[in-house]
Amino acid sequence: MTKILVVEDHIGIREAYEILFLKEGYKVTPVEDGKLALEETEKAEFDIILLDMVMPTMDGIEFLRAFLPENHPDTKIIIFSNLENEETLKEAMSLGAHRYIRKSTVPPKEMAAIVKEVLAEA
Amino acid sequence: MHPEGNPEFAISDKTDRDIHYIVTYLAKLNNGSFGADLSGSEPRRKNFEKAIASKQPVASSTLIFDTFPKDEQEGFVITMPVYNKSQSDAPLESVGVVNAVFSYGLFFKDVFNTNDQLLNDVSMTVTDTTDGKQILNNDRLSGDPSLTKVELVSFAGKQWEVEINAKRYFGVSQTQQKTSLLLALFIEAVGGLLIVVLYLQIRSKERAYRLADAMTEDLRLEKNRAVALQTRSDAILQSIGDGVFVIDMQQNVILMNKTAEQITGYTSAQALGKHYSQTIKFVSEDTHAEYKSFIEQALQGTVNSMADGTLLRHRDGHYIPVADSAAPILVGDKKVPAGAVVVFRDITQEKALDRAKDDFVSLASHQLSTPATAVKQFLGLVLENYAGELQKEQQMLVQKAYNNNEEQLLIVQDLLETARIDSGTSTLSLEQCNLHDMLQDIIASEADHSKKQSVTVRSNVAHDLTISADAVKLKMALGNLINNAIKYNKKDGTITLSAEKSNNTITITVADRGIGIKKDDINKLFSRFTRISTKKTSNIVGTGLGLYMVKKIVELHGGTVSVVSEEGKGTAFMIKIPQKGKA
Repeated sequence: MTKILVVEDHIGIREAYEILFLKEGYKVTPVEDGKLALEETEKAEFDIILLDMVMPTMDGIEFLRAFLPENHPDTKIIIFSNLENEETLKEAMSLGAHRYIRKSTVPPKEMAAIVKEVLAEA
Repeated sequence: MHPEGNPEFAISDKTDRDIHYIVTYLAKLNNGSFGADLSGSEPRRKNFEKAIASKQPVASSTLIFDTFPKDEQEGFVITMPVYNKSQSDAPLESVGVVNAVFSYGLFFKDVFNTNDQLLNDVSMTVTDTTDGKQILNNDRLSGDPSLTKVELVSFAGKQWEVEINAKRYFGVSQTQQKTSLLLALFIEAVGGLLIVVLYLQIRSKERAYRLADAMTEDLRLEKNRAVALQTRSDAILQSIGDGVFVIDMQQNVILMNKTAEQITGYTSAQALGKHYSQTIKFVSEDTHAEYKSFIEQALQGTVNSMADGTLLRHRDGHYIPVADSAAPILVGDKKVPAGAVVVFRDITQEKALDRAKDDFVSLASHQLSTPATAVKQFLGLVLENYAGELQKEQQMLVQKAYNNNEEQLLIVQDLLETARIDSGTSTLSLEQCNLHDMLQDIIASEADHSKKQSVTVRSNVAHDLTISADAVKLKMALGNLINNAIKYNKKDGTITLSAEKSNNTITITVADRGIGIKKDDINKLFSRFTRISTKKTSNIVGTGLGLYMVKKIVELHGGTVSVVSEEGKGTAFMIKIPQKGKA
């Protein structure tokens, strides 16, 4: 079963994605910040991580720096944020993120499609 | 009354001719004399001295006037001293005399009108008691008088003996008292005549003094008023809480108020008479280049607001954000500019408040954005049947909720973008964008909207036209213009999108044939949170941020946005962006 780690501080959005990916047939692990996410990645390898950028305890960038995506070649990372700060996004991509999604504009089905697409990428 | 002593006024007594009396005003000369008259006869000179000494009108003894006709040569003068009193408690100062010449013959000829029945029955003699000279003897009375009355009259420092004789029958139906009364009246008449002559003359002098005094008083009041006015306008100018300075056509400072001194750090004395830019220097926030066009335009005759982001260089070198305007001083009927008034105020606090507001908007938007995004995701799950198939009505209702949530998110997105632009944290990520494709994307995303409004959007943009721009932001700006053009269009209206390149500048035009914009409202269009409300637009939803954002995004690209509109005919927005991106 495809394992997905949803890292999002807002409970509503976190729950919505949890429901979405459960319905899509994934094994979902929802966490509320980068620190907890890091703990989860130490316990298990994930196929994909949906990573919010702005979070109170360890934000997206800090997580990426600690997680070091190049050490996890089988883990795809999608940044999903409403953040429009180009510098932060560029840094996230350079740290090894695969895709950026603007979460306020992408509806669930499209989100699921993107995740599938990223997973299918080499 | 002329200075040379020519008579000017007449006393008329029921006759058809004027009787002239020579009345002169003789001013005291510097040597204390009274001019030519003093060289005249001894009695006349004595009369002057007596009048001045007694401060009373004085009549002279009988004089002979050589220049008078033969039967009118005998007469007298009455001298009235004239004084000036500069202050109420000051001593009287003799300034001259009024000299009235009376010929016995001339003076009394008309007092006793020959046709007067009453006087035919009465005779009268007037005698100067000082020298016994009879100055009047009306001997028209025929026959012996049966009634005689003698009265002494004091006038002009002399005693005059007035003797009245009346015929016997004059008193038949009259009582003695009545005769006495008549006599008294007559004597009064003679005295009154003399007094009138003098009074008229003196009054003219007094009138002159009064006039002079009144004029002096008027001048004094006028001066006080002018001083008060000057003081008041000066006080008002100095009390204005904004900096104010005035320049002439040579741009030299001619006036500067206290607030201007405080803001600039220069005193009026340092600024006055010099070109304003030596002390009051406005610069542009971005380049720190001197900014003077708004003042130059004011000197041409138009009122100009300072551009946003104007700074004033303080004397000590630091810069202060300022705002306000320059207005021409127009003079004359033709309203010719004679200078300009420049008003400016320190907006440091306003800027700080503005920043605080931006921070608040930004924070609030972030806070709104997250739950709204969660709502979107939940509604999306329901709508996309993740929670089971929806019935048609359920589907319709959830779709409405979803659409409204979308709108809410767009508003939040606008607010966030505006906050970023205002805080200067909005940066550009330039790439070569195909303008045609970008516009087609926007047309596609606005398809539902334009269909609903029955508006056709046409693009005439060449397929290969590219522009160096931040794709996300430029799309946001163009999307806003196209969305507006649909919203403010007429039913079955059209929108034409065109773009052309010239001199490395790309001009993108979004033209509609919609409701148009009033001339007065065009200037307000690009202001933050400004929505032009009319009856036609009252049902149209908007944040008032769209065009502000468009302008800011275009400016970030080094471009400009302009608008041409005619109410009822349509509007065209033109974006000009350098093709290579911001220089």
